[in-house]
Amino acid sequence: MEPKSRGPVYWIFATLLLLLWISPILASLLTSIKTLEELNEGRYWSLPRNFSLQNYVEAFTVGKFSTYFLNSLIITVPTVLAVLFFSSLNGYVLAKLRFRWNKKLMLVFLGGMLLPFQILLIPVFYLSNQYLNTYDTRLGVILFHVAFQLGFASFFMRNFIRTIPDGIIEAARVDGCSEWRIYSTMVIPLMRPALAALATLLFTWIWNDYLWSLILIQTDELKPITAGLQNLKGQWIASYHLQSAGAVIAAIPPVLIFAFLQKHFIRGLTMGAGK
Amino acid sequence: MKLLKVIGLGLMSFASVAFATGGELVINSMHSDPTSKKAFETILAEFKKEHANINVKVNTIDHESYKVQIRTWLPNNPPDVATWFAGNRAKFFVDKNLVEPLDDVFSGAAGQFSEGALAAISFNGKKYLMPTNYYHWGFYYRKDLFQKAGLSAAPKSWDELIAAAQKLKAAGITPIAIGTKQAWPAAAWFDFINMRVNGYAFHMNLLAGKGNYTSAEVKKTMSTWAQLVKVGAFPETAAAMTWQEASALMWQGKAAMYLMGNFISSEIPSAVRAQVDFFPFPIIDPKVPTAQVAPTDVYFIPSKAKNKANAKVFMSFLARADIQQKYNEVTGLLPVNNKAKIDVKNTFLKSGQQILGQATGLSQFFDRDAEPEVAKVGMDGFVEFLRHPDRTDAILTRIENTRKRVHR
Amino acid sequence: MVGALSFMQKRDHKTAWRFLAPSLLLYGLYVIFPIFFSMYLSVTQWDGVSTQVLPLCFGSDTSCFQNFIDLWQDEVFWMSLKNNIAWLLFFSLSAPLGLALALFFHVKAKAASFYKSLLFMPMVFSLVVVGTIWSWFLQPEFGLVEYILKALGILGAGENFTMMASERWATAGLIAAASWPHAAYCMVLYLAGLSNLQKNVIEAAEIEGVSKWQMLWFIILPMLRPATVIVVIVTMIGALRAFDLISIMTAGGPANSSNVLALYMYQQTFENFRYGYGAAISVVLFAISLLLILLYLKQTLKDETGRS
Repeated sequence: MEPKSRGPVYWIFATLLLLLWISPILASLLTSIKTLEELNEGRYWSLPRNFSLQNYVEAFTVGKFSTYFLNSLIITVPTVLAVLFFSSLNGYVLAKLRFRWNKKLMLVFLGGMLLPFQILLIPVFYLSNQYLNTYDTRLGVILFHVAFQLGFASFFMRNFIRTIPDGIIEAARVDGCSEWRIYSTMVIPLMRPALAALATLLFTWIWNDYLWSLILIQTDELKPITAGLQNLKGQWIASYHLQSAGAVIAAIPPVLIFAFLQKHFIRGLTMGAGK
Repeated sequence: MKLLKVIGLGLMSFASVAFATGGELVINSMHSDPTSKKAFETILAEFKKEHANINVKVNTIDHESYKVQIRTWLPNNPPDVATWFAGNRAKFFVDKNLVEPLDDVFSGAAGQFSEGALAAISFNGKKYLMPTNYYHWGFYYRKDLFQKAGLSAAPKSWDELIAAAQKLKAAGITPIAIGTKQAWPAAAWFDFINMRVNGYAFHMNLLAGKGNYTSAEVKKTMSTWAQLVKVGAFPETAAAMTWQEASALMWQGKAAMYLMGNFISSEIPSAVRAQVDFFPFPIIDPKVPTAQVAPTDVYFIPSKAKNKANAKVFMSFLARADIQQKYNEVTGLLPVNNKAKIDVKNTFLKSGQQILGQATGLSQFFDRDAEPEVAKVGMDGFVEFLRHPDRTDAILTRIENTRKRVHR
Repeated sequence: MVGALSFMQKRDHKTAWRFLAPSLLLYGLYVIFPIFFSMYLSVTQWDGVSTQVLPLCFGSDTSCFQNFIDLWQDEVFWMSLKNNIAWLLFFSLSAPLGLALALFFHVKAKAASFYKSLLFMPMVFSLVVVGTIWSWFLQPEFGLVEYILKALGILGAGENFTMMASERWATAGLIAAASWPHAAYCMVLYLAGLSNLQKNVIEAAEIEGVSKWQMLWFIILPMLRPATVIVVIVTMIGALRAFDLISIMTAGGPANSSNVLALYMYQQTFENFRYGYGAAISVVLFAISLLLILLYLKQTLKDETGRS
């Protein structure tokens, strides 16, 4: 369907709708630049007396957001890279190799991605604690995320790799290329857009996770930013100014990814969900 | 006497040196709020000065998460020292052999802790916890708002409290602030009313799992409480507010009274400090001796700790009067070591020392005295009760069923 | 020829196993095995501390399914289940909301893409962020919603916006907050669907002179059907997974009135330390999800065979 152009009435209405839609964000942005004194007086929704980034500074220092932020990166980046690597390997097998278990395996991967996390909660906690010795480490969280995301990612990569014509791969095989060489020198370069799309999605999901770090990490210094944001709430004074600043900080990386890689992101979502 | 103390201190630090093996000391602390965090850092600096060879590592975890997570790390990867509460909440871990006895540490501090204080940290004849401070509960109120509503004095009896609530309500002021987004603030009301109506012994027996929540006595507690709920003393928004948010109602002059622990006194904004005063929970039945709620904060050594020698050194350090004094000069709470002095200019502390000194019994708090599961069902029930006092019977039956299952 | 094929197949199998091995190991350990382990735990009464865990009926006259019997009599379980059903029904409204937004903003103009970017934004927020933002937004006494309602005269001077303190409405507030990012997600899917619609069909319909509603109902919606099926299933799974937002905004309160199975399972397990009971709740949740998962797999297989 072709988009149409619209008149001024439409744009007024659209602007109002947009403002309503983002009003929760605006509320937190406003509160995040207000001082505690101003909030204590009950001046919540007036314009701030003076613009101050003090709350952000405080979130980073007192609220330890610098540590949490770094932890989120340490957890997210290796997870994304590992998932990209393993899922493209799996995708290649599922799409291009004559493997007896292909279809069943795909169903297992696909079904796993929709599991309710609760069924995994206690066993993963128990395994990490008793056998793998990864409880209260960032590695423990990374390993779980890699495993769980493999379901969706492998299916995603398979669908893209399937679009590579069989002929090219057959030709390479006839030339005596090993499967590993075909995968690494032909498939991966062709898959760059798909990998970029998948990477943006994965980054957002892992960055935003809260439950698994809640279960698997105990030490404050190892917690990611979502758990850190929740920690701000535990302070004994009403702290909506700090929480608002913290929420903004936690939202920045995914928003940046989205802003600069919107095309990849949306393609990832639509391709991943539909086809 | 003074000389003895100096010698004692000297011996103790000698003992610490003798025990100290260098190496690590990992402490998990739930004191994440600015004030008690600062207090802890103050004495920690002192400790590091005295024991430069011990490498101290502190994990500060927010209060609410700590309570949840301790079960996950205590049996498996415990630190060397952890913060906790006295009462049944600690007994649960003691019964599972997860806590190291501290009798040797206490033998070095004989006569410095009252019998009452020791009773709260002893189980099955052994001492397990190092109490550093306790605090009193009662009403914090705005004198200016009381005046505005035509009230001249703080309520002393239950009827006076209800009358005050009615007058404040008529003046357009929320009589009593409360925030039950986390359910525990509601439980303080149950603790006090039950102790005032049925007495300390009945209350402690009930919370230890030996009483019956559907008994006539408990029903009387609830119907007494209901009198206050029915005059509209509590705000409708309570369940959507944390206790911190509810306290903002007081600071902003929207609410007049607040039943809270004394940790709140250090958070009063300076602008309204002069208008805030304290009164103890009113008498309901004059025949019943007056007991108080006084939660005690403690430190303990997990039995699976890796650096127990260092942990014991730390415990002996915490037991000292001078350290407890320094600690609580910052916390604004009462030290447990009776040789430690308090700031006499702090009126809140003075009233606290007074009412706790006169009390015939001290309870820890609903969720520290009752089993965790019963406490959860109970506190959720009290939150529901604040909105629906007519559901009392159903709520009590639910608590009783849980109690029966847990203490099966 | 047959021999050659089987040789190729053999070679492919070897490579396949080699490529798949690390993934299968991880996936088996962290995803497949835990499902069965949870099922086992659901017939035990593990307290999280003991090292040996036997089923309830071993060496005692308790039923192995005691946890499920207890669940049946647990008011909070039923309350949570009821709330999960409310989530299934009302959270699904994000799909029509997303579709409406997509249709409304499917406009040819430079500004439109800027507007759309802002509308999409909540989609990339963590639910912890969404929960924090919305808690503040809906907060009685201090929040923006109460302020606006008071400014508009909808709430009187002594009145408060009590939605999140109300047993009846707290879940509605939670679903509203959850629908905010999710409707944005649905909008993205529908916008993609809209731009892929077959032009000739629509042009033909326009020439025929069908009304806008007829166009939507008889032509556009049927063409968006594949997107809709996926959206609905993903939404329902999301409704069953609801945890972060509830744990942050109400913790299931007031008095469990906004609890759901996922959160109740967490509370029983990690706050009350009834691991067996928690596992039993997770098994129930898994059973409900399984229906949806099978539906999804069926649909995907159908799409697959339809296309290839």
